[in-house]
Amino acid sequence: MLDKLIREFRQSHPAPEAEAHCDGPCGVYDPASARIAAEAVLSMSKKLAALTVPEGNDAAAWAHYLNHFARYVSIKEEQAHLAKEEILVLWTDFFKPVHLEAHPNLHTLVWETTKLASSCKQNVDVEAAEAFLANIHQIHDIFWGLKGRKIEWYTT
Amino acid sequence: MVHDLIQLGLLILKRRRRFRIVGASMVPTYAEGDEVLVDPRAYRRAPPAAGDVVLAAHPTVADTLIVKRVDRVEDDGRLFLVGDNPDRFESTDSRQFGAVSPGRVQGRVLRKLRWS
Repeated sequence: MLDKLIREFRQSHPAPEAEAHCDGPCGVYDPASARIAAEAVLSMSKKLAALTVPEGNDAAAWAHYLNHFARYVSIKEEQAHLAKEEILVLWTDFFKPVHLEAHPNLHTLVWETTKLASSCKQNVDVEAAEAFLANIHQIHDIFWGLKGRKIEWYTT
Repeated sequence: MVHDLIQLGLLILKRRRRFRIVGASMVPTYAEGDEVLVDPRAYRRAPPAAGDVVLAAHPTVADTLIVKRVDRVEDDGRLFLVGDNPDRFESTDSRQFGAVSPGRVQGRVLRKLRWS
């Protein structure tokens, strides 16, 4: 009875709103997207490094080789760029000045990570691809540390 | 119960106002959808103190009221307001817009209305 009265009262006399939220267009951020792309870069770099040039002039063998070579390079290029973009979005949109106070190396880390993305594009460089992924691991730790959550780093 | 009736009486007499919380910046104290009781006359005699939860006009957005906790009172009397949510991304407060003039405060948030 009382509950019903209260319910009716609240419906007919709604309380004005008081904001207790975040003004920003709260994007959903997660360094996982950069990690997945960087993993693809590492995988493609390894596959490219392991490709063997066909012996002789067998057309089919060459077509097979060149096709795989081109595909691996294309995916490596595309995924390195995607990872770079994802990191830059975190940098420009997610990280705030207070985060920089807590992590003074953040600018350098982002700078070096995006530079590594470029190295992965410019060459077939497994070492660079591994370093790229390791840097994203660091960004992952900083990101989730700031959010106060313990999110395990893993690779697929 | 007697206390509730007194608050209800004050609400009817407009000595208290009720507001509905939008957003999660005051979690765990107040959650989205909670209704709170506000005393608009709380600071007639003394200014807000650290630890108070206040209702204030947003410093940069017109016609918007915000609920935050007074983290500290600056030397110049302005209030550094911070949301209770430990996830700082849930709250836009003095960490982004700076300390707020006490003139913007419109009352003290007393407590959650039990019916909400």
